[in-house]
Amino acid sequence: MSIALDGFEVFRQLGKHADVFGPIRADVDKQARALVVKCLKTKSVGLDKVRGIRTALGEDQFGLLLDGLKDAEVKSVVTRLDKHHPDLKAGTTAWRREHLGALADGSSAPHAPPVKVKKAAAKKAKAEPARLQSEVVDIYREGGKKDR
Amino acid sequence: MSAKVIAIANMKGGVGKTTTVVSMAEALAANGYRVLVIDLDPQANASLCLAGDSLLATLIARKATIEGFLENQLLGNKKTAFTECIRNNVSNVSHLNQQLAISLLPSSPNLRHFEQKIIHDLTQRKMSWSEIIKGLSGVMGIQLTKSRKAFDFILIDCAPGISILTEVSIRLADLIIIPTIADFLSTFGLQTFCAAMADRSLAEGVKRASRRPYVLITRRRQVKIHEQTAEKLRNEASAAKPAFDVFRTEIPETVAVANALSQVNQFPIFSQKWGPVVVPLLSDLVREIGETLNVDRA
Amino acid sequence: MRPLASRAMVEAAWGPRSIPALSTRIVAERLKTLLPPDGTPVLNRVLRLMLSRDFGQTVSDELYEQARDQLFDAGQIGRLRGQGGQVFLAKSENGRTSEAGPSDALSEIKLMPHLERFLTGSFRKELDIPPHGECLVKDTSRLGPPLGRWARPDFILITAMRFRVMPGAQLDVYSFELKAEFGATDLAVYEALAQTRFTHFGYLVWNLPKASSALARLPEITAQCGQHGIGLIRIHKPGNDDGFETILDPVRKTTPPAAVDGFLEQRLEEEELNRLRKALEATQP
Repeated sequence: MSIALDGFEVFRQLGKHADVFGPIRADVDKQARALVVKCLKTKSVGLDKVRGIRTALGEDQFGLLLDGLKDAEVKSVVTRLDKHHPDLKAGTTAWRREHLGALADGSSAPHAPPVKVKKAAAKKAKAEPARLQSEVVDIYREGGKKDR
Repeated sequence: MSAKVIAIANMKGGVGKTTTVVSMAEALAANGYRVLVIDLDPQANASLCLAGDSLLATLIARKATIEGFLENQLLGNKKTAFTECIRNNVSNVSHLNQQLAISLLPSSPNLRHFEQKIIHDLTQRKMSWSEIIKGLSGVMGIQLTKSRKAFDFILIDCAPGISILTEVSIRLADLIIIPTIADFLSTFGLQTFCAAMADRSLAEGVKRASRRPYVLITRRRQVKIHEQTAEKLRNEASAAKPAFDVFRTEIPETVAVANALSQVNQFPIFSQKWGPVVVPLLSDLVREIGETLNVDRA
Repeated sequence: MRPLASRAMVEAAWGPRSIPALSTRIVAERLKTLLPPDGTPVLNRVLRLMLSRDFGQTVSDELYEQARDQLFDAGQIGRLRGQGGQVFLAKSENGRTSEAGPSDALSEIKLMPHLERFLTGSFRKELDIPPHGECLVKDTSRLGPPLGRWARPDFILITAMRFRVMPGAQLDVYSFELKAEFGATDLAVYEALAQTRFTHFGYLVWNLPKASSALARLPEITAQCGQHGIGLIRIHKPGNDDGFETILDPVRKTTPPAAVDGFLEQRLEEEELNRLRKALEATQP
């Protein structure tokens, strides 16, 4: 028995039985677009994931989706995916749209960040990740051992 | 399947322990498992949330509570069995048109005095602390074994701190879950708890010493301190000798959770009680618990 | 919020050592005591859960339904539709459980066939529909959105006919909300009113036998219906059409044609829609 609705499973079945869900076709189109756009706009979705989305949806559907993006949406996505591109600020909206397409299909790669000269930092040994610690607890722990 | 015993404990109060017990019991039951909740917290909050005020009052009046059982077992002449104090079908929640299969061995506010009384009376009989613990563990262990066939999961809600009954529960549990808020004081409580577990010869008697306690991050908010602390908790895995593991699932601090716990005198549907945000998380948590304990899906 | 059951009741029900085998009679008796004495309806889902909690063991669907039907047949409880069904304690005026026989405390379900007979018979006759017109009666109590509030009239009646002289056609939709003896309240009037969102005429049909203790509510319900332009049909004796009395005629609502159209499309079969279309498009006789 499951306790939570599995949205992915519901969508899979929606697509499988398009005839049954015919009456809500327009809504399916609208929501499908909204969901993918939301995913594209999510901060944690990097270029790899965007390419993954393109592969998953196929060239056609992904192209249609990009065409439907607003200029502002294109700008925010491109800026996130390729924030060090020199033309980013000066570029036209049409260029950004094209560049997003190119980034997604792999014909263009994002620019690397400008190289900063790092001092001594590189020499530093890799720090231990931060973990819980407390001197009080340490004393308590020691005390426990001493008693035994 | 023989029931898996899960003790839910923490040194500190107010970390969402009752919420964890109630939501886990209901989520496991909604998954089709038969669940027994044993309340060892004198605040009796879990009992109240699961059974409701009126029914709990009846059970306390009948002495069908944990201290009623222990009193008979340890200090009285009459030997009652666990099963006589367990009340079946207590839940007011339904899922897929069926009542959740939750049974309860409730606590009452008298438990606090009773615990002191046990210790006093038994020390009068010249029993040492460890003998008391061993005796209690024996009694509880026998009864748990008897109940194991009838349930898939037995959840034990321990009182904050490490009381005599908490210590017994920790010894008998297959899994110890420590609900913790990802902030400074709560994690301090977590550290002392873990230190205490290694102490007082507790470690020797623990049933599954190899399995570390699991931390469940509760009342999580989207604030920096919670984020940093949660990361520290998760970094424990990289320690040479980790003191605990951490569940991937985190329970957020939401209005839905607070509301859910107040629906004591209503008859909600599980998914509506916990709401669309929390239900999928509970589903994830149940899956994680199942993986940890190697339990087949119900 | 009501406490689940009195302590004494739970105590009596619960023997710690032996779990009593449940019989229909035991469940029926407890069911009555769990229902609110003021006649507030309780969902079947909730009532079964209350019983299970009370007995400390699961009450099966089957056992619950047997007990409920037994009480219902004896006229001790009433039933309502919607959200999986509800039941309520039937009460006589002096607060005692009604001793009336089943014929007097008929449920909505049992009244449905009688109302259908009346609508297709006498009611239709009075509408005076010409031979080329069409008149449909449909039980819509189980059609429509499951969670739609007040969107499911018990019956609808649709008349469609072309004018005799003028060009054009007329389509009228009537909705009927059926209430059992103790079911007619202010809320029932509003329910009938709400259904005119999709229909032109709204009726409340109330089974109110002569000696009913609910008779006291008749003037108030009549006034409410009059105020909202809802028709009121009183059933004295459901057995024959003479037992149906039209107390108030409804006022025709100016429901938007699109709302009516959408409603009919959802509730009627294709064949029924075609019959209506035919009647509306037919050439002059």
